[in-house]
Amino acid sequence: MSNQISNENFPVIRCIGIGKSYSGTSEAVQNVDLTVNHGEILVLLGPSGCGKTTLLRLIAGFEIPTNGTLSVGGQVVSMPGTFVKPENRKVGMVFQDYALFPHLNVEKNITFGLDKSNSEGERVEKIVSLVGLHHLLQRMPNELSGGEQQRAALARALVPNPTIMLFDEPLSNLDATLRIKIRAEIKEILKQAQVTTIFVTHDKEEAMFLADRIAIMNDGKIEQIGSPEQIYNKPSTQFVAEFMDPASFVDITLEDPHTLVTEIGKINITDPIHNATENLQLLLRGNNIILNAYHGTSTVDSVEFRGSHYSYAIRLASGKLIEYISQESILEASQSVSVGIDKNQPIHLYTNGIYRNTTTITPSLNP
Amino acid sequence: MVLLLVAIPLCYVVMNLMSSPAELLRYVLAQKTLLLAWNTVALTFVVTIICICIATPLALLTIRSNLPLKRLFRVLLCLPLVFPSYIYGFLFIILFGPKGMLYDMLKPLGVEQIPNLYGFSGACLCLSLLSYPYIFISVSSSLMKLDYSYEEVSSSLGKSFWHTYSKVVIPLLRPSITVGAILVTLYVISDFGAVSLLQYKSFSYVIYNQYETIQRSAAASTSSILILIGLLSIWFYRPNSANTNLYRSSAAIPRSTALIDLGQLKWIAFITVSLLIFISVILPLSVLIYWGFKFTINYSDFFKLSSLFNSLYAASIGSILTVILSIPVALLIAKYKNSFSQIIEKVSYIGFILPGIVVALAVVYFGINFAMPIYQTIVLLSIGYIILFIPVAIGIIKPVFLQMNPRLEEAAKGLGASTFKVWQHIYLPSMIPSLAGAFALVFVLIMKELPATLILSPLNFNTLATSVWTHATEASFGMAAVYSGILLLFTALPMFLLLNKGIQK
Repeated sequence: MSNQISNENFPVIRCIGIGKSYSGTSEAVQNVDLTVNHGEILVLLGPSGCGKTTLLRLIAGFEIPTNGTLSVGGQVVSMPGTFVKPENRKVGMVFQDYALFPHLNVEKNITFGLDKSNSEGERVEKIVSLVGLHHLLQRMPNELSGGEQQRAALARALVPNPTIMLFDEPLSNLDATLRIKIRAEIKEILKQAQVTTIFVTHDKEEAMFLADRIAIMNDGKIEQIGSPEQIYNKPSTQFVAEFMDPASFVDITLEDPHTLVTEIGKINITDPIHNATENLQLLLRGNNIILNAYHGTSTVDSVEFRGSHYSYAIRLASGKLIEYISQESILEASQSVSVGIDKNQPIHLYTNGIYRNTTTITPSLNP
Repeated sequence: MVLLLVAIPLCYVVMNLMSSPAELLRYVLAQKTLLLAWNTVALTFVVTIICICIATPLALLTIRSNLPLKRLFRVLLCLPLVFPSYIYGFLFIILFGPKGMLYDMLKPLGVEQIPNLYGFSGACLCLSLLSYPYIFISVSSSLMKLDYSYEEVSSSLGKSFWHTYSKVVIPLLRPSITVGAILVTLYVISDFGAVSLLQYKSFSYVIYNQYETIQRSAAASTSSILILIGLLSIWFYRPNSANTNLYRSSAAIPRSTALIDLGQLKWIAFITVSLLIFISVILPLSVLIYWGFKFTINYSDFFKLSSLFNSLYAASIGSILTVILSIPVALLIAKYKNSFSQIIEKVSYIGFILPGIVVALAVVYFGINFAMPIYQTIVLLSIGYIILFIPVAIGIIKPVFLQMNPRLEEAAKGLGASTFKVWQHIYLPSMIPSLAGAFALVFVLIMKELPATLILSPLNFNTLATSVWTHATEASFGMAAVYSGILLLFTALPMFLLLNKGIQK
């Protein structure tokens, strides 16, 4: 079946209204709707405790959802009254700590998921060379480095030809250099194998690198799903914006539908706002801010050297902190400055912390 | 000096082997001896297998399944450990013996004969019920540490529950099963009380008879063979226990996964486990209480309080000496890693492997030949206790020295403290809990100890343990029950508390 339509975008994982609450009050996952298409890598991103691992384990079948319907590969695996056990779901799972069976060597670990009668030597061979473990097949897991263990766990999950692959923070135990190397390998392997994947992480850089789409989770709910660009550039909520990059929200008042007044200046926008009663905010990131003068009503709160640039925390007259970025060391702590909004960048408007629209600034007006 | 003391049994055996190797060889090859060896090996093997088969499923049930009351079961299943085997043995005779309570109960129903308790089957039943907790505790503690993710990986790879357990969980538990099995094996090989009371001709029973009938050299030769069997069994487990370091410490947040759903089997499992506890703990205990009370009411004046005092006296002296002597040995082993300290460590564990009766004979031999003045005194008895229980004390005290940060001493010295002050203010205070623990455990173990006490104690020095033994062998079970009750009162509670602490660790 899958061969006939393998080139199309059809959903392989579908969650409808999935929820999980534990005895008592806590709701780990609340009413999640999520679709992952064939061959797609979806990254679940969020702070620890946000429910992303629980959602992954619900899809794997290690936990039973309290409500909602879940289907994998067109088959309903979980809905009220129906539950398909994990061993019948064809789901490959890679754990944070790899969980290689310590009593089996690499080869036996990798072929663990095959039936005895099954002669899938060719597939095993292909996957072993894909992950580059030929020379290590006879080793025991405790004789492997972290990266090698990671590759062995990946191979073990891929060998039974799973419908979907699930990764639970698989890179968090590796050091920074190795992490970057392995994530590139994983992406290449997954794309070659064309396997539908959900990848859980709390590292936004990792998420942006790996993902076709990112789903940001907070407090058991999905806040936003979209391409890495959409998520970064047009965060749909204040939470997403602040999670992806340091960001400040500055209050806006309307002088007229075209003119916004903020405490760091007036701007003219191209898309007029007609409903003046809205509680409007403006998203400001370091790259939206320009430096006007070395004196003014704002002060430099602190200076941080970040390698490629300097990050300045600027305290506005209202007490609000915003970030200003420069490649040069031009400001000192506690000096007074005047900052403004960069009129060459599009700006993002929010109503009560929820994304409203993006607009550009008319360059004619001067503050 | 400690080393010399502890080495007494080894020297004894070696001297025996040297003095008349030809005679020994003839003795070893005699049919009677071979039969004896076969008896011991068969009993040990069968009991160990039974214990593995009982304890492993019990551990899985009480930790990984939805068995009702499993927390309570986890505690109750360890209880048989508090019974000394000689008490357990005679309680079984009362219950299931040829004229026992079971027979009395079945007689009105027309049952003329019940299976014979004496011999192999009785000893096997008794020792299995007594020693399965060793494996249960060892497997439970590693099962609690075993990460669920192995099971989850296996099921996500499409493997059924049974495949997961037989190919992943049980193999991962093998090191801890092995550790428990070694303990059971050593326990059975060195058991004296149960096999003697149940008249099963294994080595310790025969050695004691030979000793009693003053066949000293025969007893010595038999001891040597028993030691050989003990060492061989340790060697037998060697390759299995080689890679015990299989567990990883998971960095992930521990998550509770769905427990094994027993479904319809839940109540069958519940009843089976309850029945096991009933037979192994509740039944013997109630028999003990019943007979004890029945007897006390009728013949209260027969009881000799002196045996209680003797027990406490011997146990106090023995445990204090043992703990004091174990401190320097533990320090040496923990702080100075060289071949000499390693030899000391190995030698100090002799008492753990050797049956009490062999140690006792060695000490008697030493007393008669080299230290006549202390023969049949409390001193010689204490030497026996020290050899037997110093490994236990070292085992508890050594970790303290290992955990102690050497920087502490350096810091104190850097501040101008003398060695004496360092000990007084740093080492001793941090050692006190484990010294107390070691003392309590050794005290209890000495109270329970039978064969060495029987052979080494001064004339007319009756302790609780020897009184139980004497009365049980003379089939005056009521008297034996009274002494047993008092002995259990003094040993079971501390034993149980120490055990629980151990399980929680």
